[in-house]
Amino acid sequence: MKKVLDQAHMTPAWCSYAGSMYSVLQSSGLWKEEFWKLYGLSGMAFQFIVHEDCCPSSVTVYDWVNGHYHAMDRLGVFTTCEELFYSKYLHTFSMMQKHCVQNIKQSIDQGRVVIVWAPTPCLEFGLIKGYDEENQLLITEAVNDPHPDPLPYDNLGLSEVPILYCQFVLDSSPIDINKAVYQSLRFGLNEWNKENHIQPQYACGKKAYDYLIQSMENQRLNAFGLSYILAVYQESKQTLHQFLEWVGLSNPSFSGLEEAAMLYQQIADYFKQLTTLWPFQPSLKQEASPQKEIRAKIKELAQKAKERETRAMKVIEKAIQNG
Amino acid sequence: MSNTHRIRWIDQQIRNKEYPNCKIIADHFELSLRQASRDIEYLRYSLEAPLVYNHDHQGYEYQHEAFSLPSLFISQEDRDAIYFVARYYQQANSTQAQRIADLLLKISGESTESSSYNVSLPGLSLNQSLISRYRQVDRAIQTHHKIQIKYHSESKEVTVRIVHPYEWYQVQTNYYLVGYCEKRQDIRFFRLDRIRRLIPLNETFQILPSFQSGKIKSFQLPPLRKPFHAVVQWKKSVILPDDFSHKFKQMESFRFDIEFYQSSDLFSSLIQLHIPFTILDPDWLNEQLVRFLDQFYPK
Repeated sequence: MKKVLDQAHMTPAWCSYAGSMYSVLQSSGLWKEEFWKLYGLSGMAFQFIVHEDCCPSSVTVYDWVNGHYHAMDRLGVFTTCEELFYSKYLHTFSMMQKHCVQNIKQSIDQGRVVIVWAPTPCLEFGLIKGYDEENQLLITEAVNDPHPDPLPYDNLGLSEVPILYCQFVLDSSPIDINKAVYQSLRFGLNEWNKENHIQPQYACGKKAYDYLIQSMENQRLNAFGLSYILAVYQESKQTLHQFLEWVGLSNPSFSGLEEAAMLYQQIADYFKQLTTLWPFQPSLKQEASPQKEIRAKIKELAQKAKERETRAMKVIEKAIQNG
Repeated sequence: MSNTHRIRWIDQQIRNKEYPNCKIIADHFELSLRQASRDIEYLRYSLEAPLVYNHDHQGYEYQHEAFSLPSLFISQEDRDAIYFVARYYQQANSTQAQRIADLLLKISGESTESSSYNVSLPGLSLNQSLISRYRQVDRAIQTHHKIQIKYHSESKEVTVRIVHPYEWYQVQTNYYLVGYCEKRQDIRFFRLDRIRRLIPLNETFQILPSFQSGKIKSFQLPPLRKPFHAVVQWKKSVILPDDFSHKFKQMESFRFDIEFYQSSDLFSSLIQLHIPFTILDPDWLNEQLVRFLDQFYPK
């Protein structure tokens, strides 16, 4: 038996989880609007995490189970997930694989694509959009490859960063848009003010800026990671500008957000300059250090962006209080 | 009997004007003369004691009385443990960890010049035998001395080998020594906790020119994932070269079963042979081949 949901395609996005979300929800008819609105309303666009040496893992080091559940919940979508870190000392890993494969096939049969971690060698979230039971293969799609090699059932969860993670969309309910916006803004504010991230080498929110700035003095700066982080967050800051502009215009409950939208436009511009200064190159070596002048400029732009975002968050805080 | 206790005893003997020498120390502690002389060297060079040999009394004394043993006296075993911990921290991808590593190296009396192994920090095991084995291997890596090891493989096979230790490599929580094995005449990985006995040898070695530290991933341990198998056929008899970068098994003279993890890698390897081929199995691989070729020959 073979089944493939041809109508589902991975949305190209720097934030691969957001792109996956959009693909899954669009293909199952649960989301009919633009990507930026989903990215903003889910709260994912507010996520800003930086490692002290700008390791590329920055973007994906957070609590996937709770984070993704809540992100979907803000859109009124009910999901479940499985998450298991591979260890050769586990006796039941293969059982978990079989359990997930069963759920994946069931989801595909119901017309729903599944979000999964690293179904291909690319260490990003991707989709499983079909299966081939006879050959025991899962049909996948990745952010960088619309036609990757299939994934054998036995290889589920065994990427270079071996985490077996699958998220299944099960149901949805209508949402009160004002409540959804409130939750997104509240999440964003909490992320901004968070004192400690889940691991001490990583910081989020305003402290993420401090790590980004301090990393410019650091000999161990990961050059590839820096280029990747800047690209991802340029997209999210630009999304926040669009999202807040829309909220400001369409939701009188949240007055004052036009100013935040304008500030995020400036922040997105700074990040655009950052990505021009240090553009993403897939083959860039980790050790290829930016020169002193570039580091100084990155530091300067990051400081400006931080100042703007601090002001924007104060506006958001006021809007939430008044909303 | 620990080194700390002996050092303190020697110090006390000197202060009491007993003029200990290596023979007296060796007899007292039932040691070899070599070990006793190492204690003297340790006191003189590591603790910077102003030791001089008094020929009249045929034993050691302090040149000046102002010297005293440091209040925090770190034995050789302690230094080894601190050094081991320092190396762990040195390999972490973190500024704070590097600072801790430098501090610990200073305490252990070693140089703070680091050699980067680019591995990540796992959980820490302070098993003493593991630490001292690590230290012995690490010293051999730095001085380019061969070692003889008794090694238990995963299949419980025990072999004795002479190894040229090149560097460390880490997978998850295990440390592996990467080096040239004289028995197998090839680069091999040896898991540290499977090295049962180790004898440092006096002979030095040169690292093979073909070994590149940065390309260690090409020697990497088998990936967790299971490989695909492709059945590939040529129109005439083919001999796949020794350095063909995929495992293969000849089925018939024109047909091979070839293992691969990514189709693009397989296609690149096959195309480089400059001999037309056909993929018989799996079906999906032919579709991938068409897409692969389209990149170079778009319609």
